[in-house]
Amino acid sequence: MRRLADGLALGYVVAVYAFIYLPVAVLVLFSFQESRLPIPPFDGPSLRWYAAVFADRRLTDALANSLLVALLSSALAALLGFLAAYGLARYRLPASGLQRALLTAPLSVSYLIIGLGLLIMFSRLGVPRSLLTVGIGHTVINLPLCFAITYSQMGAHQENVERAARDLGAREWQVMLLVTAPMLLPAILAGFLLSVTFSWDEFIIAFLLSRFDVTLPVEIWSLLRSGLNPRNNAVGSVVFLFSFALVLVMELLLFRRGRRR
Amino acid sequence: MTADVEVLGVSHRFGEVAALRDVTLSIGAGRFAVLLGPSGCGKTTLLSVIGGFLFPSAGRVRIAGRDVTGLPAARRPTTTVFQDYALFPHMRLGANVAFGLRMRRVPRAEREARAEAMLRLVGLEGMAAKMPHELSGGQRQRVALARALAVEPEVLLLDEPLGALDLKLRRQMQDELKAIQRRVGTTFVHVTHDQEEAMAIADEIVVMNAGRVMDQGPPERVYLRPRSRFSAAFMGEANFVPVRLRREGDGIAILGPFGTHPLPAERLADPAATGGRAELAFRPEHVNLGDAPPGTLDLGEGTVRDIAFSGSHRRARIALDALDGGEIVAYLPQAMEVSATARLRLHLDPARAILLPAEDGESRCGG
Repeated sequence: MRRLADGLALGYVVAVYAFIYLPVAVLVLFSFQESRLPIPPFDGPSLRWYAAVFADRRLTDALANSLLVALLSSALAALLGFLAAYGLARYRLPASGLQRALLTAPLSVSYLIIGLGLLIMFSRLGVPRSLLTVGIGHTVINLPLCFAITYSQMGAHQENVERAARDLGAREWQVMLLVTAPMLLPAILAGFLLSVTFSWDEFIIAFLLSRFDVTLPVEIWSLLRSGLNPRNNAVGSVVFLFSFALVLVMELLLFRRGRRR
Repeated sequence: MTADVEVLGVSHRFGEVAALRDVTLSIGAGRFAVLLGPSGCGKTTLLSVIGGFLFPSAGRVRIAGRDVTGLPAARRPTTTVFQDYALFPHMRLGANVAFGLRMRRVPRAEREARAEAMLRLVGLEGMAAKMPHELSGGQRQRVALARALAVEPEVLLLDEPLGALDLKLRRQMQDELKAIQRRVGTTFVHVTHDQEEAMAIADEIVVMNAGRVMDQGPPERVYLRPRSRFSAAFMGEANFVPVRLRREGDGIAILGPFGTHPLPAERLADPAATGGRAELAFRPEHVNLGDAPPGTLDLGEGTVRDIAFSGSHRRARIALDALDGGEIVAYLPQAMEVSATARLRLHLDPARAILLPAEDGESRCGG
């Protein structure tokens, strides 16, 4: 009886992980396919489709655009999130509860709504769609995340440390730059890296707000219209690999560090 | 550098709660003053007002004769050692100690040399490259002290700096703190609720309760001649017996359960209260055994209710016949073995008796 229960539990766990990871594994596997169709039987391994990806100017441009947008918009989101968290944690502001709620609310709004709203606003203002507008869109969706993570880490102990800095003659900007930001660096970095992963594979907003220069997910979408192809698998694998590397960096950099303290 | 501190009529409220009520006191330059009181009595609030972290609802603060009431902490000649040390966790000890000098744009080489000298002063020589998380509590405490002293403040404020240390280390740090204060000559204002610590280090003790100053003076005076029932009770143990006072020639006489006894008038802490009700207070170690010789205050006989050995003495609770069985506490000699029901005859040296104006009820603050 006991053995049966254990067997069922094991089967369930295997099924869950297979459900999550099998599609990714199949995608990655058939990116190494030799022939033209990403379907069984597997006749690789071959790197020919990766060579094709990196030989395609449109794809490499899109990859560079994606990196640019992800890094800059995330840096901006982390900076603004930190400033907002500092202000709300350290000063008595009018309706600070409401302000906090308004800052985090976009987390629960669908990207489609945010993207449409920005699209309408930009076209009313006459701002042309470009990587800049995509970056703004990504800052909008990632700022709440960066704010929430940073704000949650601002405690009374740090407030005392800031007070000590002020006592020793530090001006407000020096307190923020030399004391608060370094103390909160793990939280700020966590926000930044999460934002990069979200921006990296975000599609809807990037699709709505870009025009000639597009990010990688948008480029992949247009590739998919031409049907199944191991090259698409190869691009997808590159996207996945980058996200995975980011998560790994985060784990090593932040959570290891947290454990050491 | 050193300066005197004057607090004039300072009151502060946190919403409905009055944390400080019309506090006036002055601390001489180069003195080691201790603000002593139970938690919630306003001593830390007063320290924050002096340090510039809190702006009082009323009153003025002067340092070296200059009015600093409206100045923020950064612009006062004071620095603070915080209870939780508040070291910069991401900076090495050298950078922690040199932070104030860096803010004052002292060149790097000079501030590193001074940081090293400060670390030497607090006994952490050669540890400038360590990080705060590598240190023990006592060492962090020393770094906080070095950091606050590095900018040569005129007044150093210490907010229960020894509160987080274990007892043995605390006693050791007291001695060091006192020695460091003697060497640098800076005025120290130190907050604690530990009366032993206060007596060990202070030149001047300020006893506080419920936002008011109850007594201020050298430890010996505050202990032997307290000016209020609160400070008598808070500074060690004391017995209180209500008495009446009567003028007799140059002096006064006390009338009470122990009969009528003359005392010099200066015995009474507040002469204005002469003629009314008063309280006779005496310390347990001042109670003597045996028949009362002439000129002493006879406490009569009593029955030992409870006795406990406490090292240097035996602490006894004794029910006095004169008080209808009311109990007093007396410290009996260590060598004396007394059974729990023994009858003892007790007396008191009148020079040790303390007269306090009677208070209506007892005002203590909790929390």
